[in-house]
Amino acid sequence: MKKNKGFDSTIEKMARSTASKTGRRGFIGKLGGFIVGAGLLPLLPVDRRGRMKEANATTTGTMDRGGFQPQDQDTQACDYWRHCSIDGNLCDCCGGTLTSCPPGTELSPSSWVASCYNPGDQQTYLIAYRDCCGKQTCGRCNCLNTEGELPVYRPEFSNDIVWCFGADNDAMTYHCTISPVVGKAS
Amino acid sequence: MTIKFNDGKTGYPKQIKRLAASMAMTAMFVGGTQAVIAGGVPQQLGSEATLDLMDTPVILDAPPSDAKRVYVLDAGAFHMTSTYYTIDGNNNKLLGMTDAGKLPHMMLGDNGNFMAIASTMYSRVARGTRDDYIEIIDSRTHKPIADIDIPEGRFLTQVMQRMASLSADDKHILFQQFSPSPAVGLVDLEKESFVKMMPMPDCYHLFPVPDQKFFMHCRDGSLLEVSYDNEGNTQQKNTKVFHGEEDYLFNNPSYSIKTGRLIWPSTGGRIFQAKLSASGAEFIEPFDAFTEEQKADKWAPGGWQPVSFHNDRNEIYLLADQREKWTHKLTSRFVFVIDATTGKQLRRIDMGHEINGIGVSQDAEPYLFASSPGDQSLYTFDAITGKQLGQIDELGRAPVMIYLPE
Repeated sequence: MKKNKGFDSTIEKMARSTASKTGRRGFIGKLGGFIVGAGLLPLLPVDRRGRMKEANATTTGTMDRGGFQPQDQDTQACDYWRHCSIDGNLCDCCGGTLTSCPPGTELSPSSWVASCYNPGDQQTYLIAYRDCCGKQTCGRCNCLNTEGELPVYRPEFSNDIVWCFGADNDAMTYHCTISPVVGKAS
Repeated sequence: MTIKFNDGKTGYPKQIKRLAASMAMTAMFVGGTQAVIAGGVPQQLGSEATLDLMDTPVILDAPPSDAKRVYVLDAGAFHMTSTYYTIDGNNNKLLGMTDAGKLPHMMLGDNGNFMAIASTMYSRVARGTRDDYIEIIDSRTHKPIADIDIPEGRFLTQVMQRMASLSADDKHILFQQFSPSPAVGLVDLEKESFVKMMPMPDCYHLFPVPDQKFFMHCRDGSLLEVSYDNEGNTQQKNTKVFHGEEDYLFNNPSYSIKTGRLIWPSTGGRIFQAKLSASGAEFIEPFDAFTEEQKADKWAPGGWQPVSFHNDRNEIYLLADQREKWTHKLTSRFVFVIDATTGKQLRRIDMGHEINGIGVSQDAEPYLFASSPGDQSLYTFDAITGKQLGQIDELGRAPVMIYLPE
């Protein structure tokens, strides 16, 4: 109870101090200025080179014989941790996102799966690699990762299959792949 | 597509019949006219466009296929169309090309005198109506000599050589279906017609042997022995399990239809072998391709088409490099030549390039052919000395698979 009383007392002092130094009109005027200023911000010249970099992104983080080295920052790089067993184009580079398909494609309800290690929280997750189908191969951010990838006679873990089974319109044509999480791997 | 004519005894009113006949005539007339226009030289062109020539251009035929005839497939990265490059491996000369659809399968028949190509196309590039078919292509003229419609059931994967196959006597073609249920399609090549989808258990790859039989590889590590009649009725039985659950076998083994010899490495470098025949499967004791020291130095096979076998020399050619685990589909720079009986390493070829697929010719002075998707090239090596003999570049987007006549 003593602690709570102390906290209440501190907050009350701060509120009274602020009120004694700030008039209502002054406060409303500053708030209005902030709102108008915020509205004008998009019109000001802004360095958008970061966005240009994204638009011109090339395939990065490609795996070599040294094995998969996951990172948890750049979802458009092949070495992003969720992509540990992806073989194909990242939808994130093709008009989609890490977990959504690009416009005009069909999402497959079936996929191969793999367990991927997230270095950010040091946990391992089960990833379901769902293909987005019904259009020509995207071609951008083409990644070949094979962490835990198995031969075609173990198809649930094979990334060499066109995983468009069950997509609308019988679209058995591969466009790109998303990497949604199923859950923590046990 | 099949066009059926009826006998004219249907019960439609005469006016409708006349209208239909009139529309058909109009369609034929318009279609015929368009065909003439589309196929001719535009009338508005001046005479310069059709001048007589001092030279005499002709359309060439490729020379007859021999042991060093090489076909290289560029299927892109799951693209809608593919290209087979026909190459004279004796001198690295490109002889011609053959178009194919999405993730096609090539089968070389009659000692390389024809190629059968199973393809998939869509009516609107990547959508619309799916059409699966098999073209038989003359390997000299490169023109189709047969076109066979099949059900839309080809198993679409990154190209695996043994997902479709000619039978041992070239009379049938077998192709694998995965969805909606496992099956093998049977095509009668003499009648140029599809016969039946033959239901199968959860097994993959097709290894034909004589007497209308073939083997498949099943999930549990056994082979499935299948015999079939001309109507597609089958008898099936499993062999023993010949590899462990954690011996992950590559997707592209080496198999000779002529000899029935199957060479199948695991990603860990263990070599499994079998001699397949109409009387059954004879498994050969597996061995490790690499010594304990080499394994400690991380030598392991890797690539998409990582193994080839020279029948007469009894030599296994294994694509390998030093690598971490789970990098089994990445390129390699070396080929280890191994005696298939003793398992002894005979020589090591340092190719000096990032290679994804290999194939060795079956003649007495064999060449080793190696594909590099990154370089868009096919490299040629003397298979005995390891010396590089040639390179042919600009082979499409990502050439991988190599096909050689037996």
